[in-house]
Amino acid sequence: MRRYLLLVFFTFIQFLQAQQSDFKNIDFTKAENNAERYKGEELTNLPILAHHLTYTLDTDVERFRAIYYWVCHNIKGEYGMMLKNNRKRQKLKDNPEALHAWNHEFKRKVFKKLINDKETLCTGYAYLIKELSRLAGLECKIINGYGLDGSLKSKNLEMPNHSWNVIKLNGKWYVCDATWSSGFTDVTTELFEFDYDNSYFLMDPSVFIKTHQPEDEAWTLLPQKL
Amino acid sequence: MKTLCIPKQQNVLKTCMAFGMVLILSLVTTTVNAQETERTVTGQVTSTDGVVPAATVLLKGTYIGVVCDDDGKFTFPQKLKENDVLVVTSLGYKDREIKITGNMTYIEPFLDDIPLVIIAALRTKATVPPSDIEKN
Repeated sequence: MRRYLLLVFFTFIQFLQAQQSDFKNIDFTKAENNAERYKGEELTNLPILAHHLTYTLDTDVERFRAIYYWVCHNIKGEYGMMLKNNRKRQKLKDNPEALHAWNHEFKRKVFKKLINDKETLCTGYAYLIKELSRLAGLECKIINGYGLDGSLKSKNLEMPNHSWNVIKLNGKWYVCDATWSSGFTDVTTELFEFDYDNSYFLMDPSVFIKTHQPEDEAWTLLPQKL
Repeated sequence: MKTLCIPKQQNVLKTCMAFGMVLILSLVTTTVNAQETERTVTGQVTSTDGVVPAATVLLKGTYIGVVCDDDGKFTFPQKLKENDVLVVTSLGYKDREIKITGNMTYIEPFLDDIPLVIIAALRTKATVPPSDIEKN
């Protein structure tokens, strides 16, 4: 009886953890083809872009796939801006007013760079995913937290350093990180290389948490501790 | 005393003519009104930081629209009438809806800022299975 209960419990946990395998019966070819067809589109007309990417697709997960795939294959990471922002935020961390002013000014530059050159930082990726999703009628949020890439550990970080998204599909929230899916920057040359990593698309939250710790624990999407 | 006697047939004809006149007149008036209220709308999109370049202006519920130039200026490509609603969107700002009223031909949509903290952590390594990341 006890063994049976445990089995039920673990099946239930598995069911709770929203992940990519929930949609293993869905073929993403059509969604990815849409993203390919509109490769190189400008970001000046987002409502039309969202429409083009999604209007032929039948399910929300396919619509989100087309958006995610397009962003990951068309937007580059901008390493120089990242370093500049990190340095400045570190320097101004004890001066909220100056930090706020810096953020306001820098935000404009980030969006200008995103629109003109299709290059951005993680907040830009997360924001673009959220906006395109909203325009396609999907509920999506930006989550701020600690991105733990290799040697970085959250206890060494005084402030959140990373943003990613959660997306609601069929009534359940899922995690994803377009920044880390899209590619990587070679630190010696500071050049970005597209290197699509599908594992960050609707990743199992129990794996995601190893590299992504949200500021607000509720967005780990892990079963709440009792 | 002279009695004015109009034959019944003539009376019906007169009524018909009067009715016809009213009908034609009302049709003409509607057309003229419609022509008067349909207008070309131009404008400039602004924010607290000044003009907003490359914002999108769409007629609500359609994909008819225009992208603003570098000075935030636009001329809407279709004539608009009263109660049409334009939706202005731009990356980094909240959407703004503008309803066309009266004889409005020039609008200055003001876009509100979005509260967004810019933070950054880019990937610096080629694809690694997540289970291996801890080993690095």
